[in-house]
Amino acid sequence: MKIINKNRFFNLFICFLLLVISLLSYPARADIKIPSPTTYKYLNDYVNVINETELNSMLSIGKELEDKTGAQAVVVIINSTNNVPIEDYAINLFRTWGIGQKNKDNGLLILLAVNDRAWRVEVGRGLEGAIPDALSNRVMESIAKPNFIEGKYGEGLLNSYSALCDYIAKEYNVTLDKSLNISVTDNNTISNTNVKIFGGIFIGLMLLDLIFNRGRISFTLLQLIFLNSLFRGRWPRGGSSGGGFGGFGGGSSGGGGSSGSW
Amino acid sequence: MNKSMKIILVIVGILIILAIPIGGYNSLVSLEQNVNSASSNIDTQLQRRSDLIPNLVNTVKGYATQEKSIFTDIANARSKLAGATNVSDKANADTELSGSLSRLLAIVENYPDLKSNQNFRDLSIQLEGTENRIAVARQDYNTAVNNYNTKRRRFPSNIISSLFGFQEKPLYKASEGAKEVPSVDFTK
Repeated sequence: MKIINKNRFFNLFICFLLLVISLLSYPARADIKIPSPTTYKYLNDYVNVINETELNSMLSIGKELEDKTGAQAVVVIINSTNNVPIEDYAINLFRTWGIGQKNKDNGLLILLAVNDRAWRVEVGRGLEGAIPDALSNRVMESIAKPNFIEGKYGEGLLNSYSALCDYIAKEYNVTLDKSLNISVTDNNTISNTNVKIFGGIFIGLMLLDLIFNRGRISFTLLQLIFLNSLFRGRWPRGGSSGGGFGGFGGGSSGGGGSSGSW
Repeated sequence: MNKSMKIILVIVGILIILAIPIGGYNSLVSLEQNVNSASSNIDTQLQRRSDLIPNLVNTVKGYATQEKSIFTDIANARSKLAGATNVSDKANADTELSGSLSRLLAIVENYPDLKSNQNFRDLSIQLEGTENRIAVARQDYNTAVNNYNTKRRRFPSNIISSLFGFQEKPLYKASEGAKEVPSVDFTK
């Protein structure tokens, strides 16, 4: 009886160890830490510099553009790239998220690193004709930069985003009337506490299972997760989830665009 | 076991033996193809930069007539790049061209009129963009080469690669300085 018990715990331990190893060894993508997209898809503000009105207008423009053309234009605001050149950071983020449709590569990314006082517009290959480097640079220098200098990041981003989206729409021979009034409440924390509560309950159940049931259920679960993680790497990447607006399309970029600072 | 049964077993056995190397061969072929397309991506971007340079040089010439040596350096590096056929020659010529270009952009600091010229600004932004595209294409190429070379040397595909003569592909090594995109600071 005792031996079986020991064995089971040993197996459990091995399973757990393998699981940890396989999770740790998973994405070996350089040392650039890329955040996961928020549920707002078109606007990902990790610094909280955007107010609700600006958020809603940008989401409306982004949604309208994607509905009419299929192109995905995304704004990302981070604090700092942590000494990574902003060009490297931008292309890693662009490709990890997969902005734009696969094979069409019609994605656009405006990246703002607030503390670095630097911006970059990364343009997917499919949009390089609509937005040449000199154009993106001129839009950012003339529309966004004056606002950035005054600390009005939201306004600068909204205006430049709107202008660049117009150029994309023009390429597809459509016009954006920007009357799609999307309104979302700027509150992302609820889901976070939910995760914590469910996590706590899960661990509690697992402990009960270990004490009263010799960990039978946990063991099976761990085995399942382990098997699952083995095959994880084989699934196609790209197309990560983006909440109520659908996911990204798995597009790529060849390094087009421009960057600058203020 | 009768005779026809034996024959079927032998055929199945041969098919299995044949099927294993075919998979390995095909994946080597597609990895090699990835390397080739990544390599032609680099060429496209190098060509794009090469095409931009005469415009840029002509704009600068209008303002900085006395800086003749830089213009000849650029012209030399450019023709070297055009004549380069293998990856390491290209990398060397590319480094040389990047070097002379950054010297060109450095002298621009002495000509305020040139710096405020819209045409020159657009050209140097395009040049910057192309440098970045080259850097990306170079990284993609090296990733493709690593995937191919690893597959080529691993068991059991190493047997197939030596059998069918899959050659090792060279990495695109650029000097450290070449990675830095030459840029002009318009704020000064």
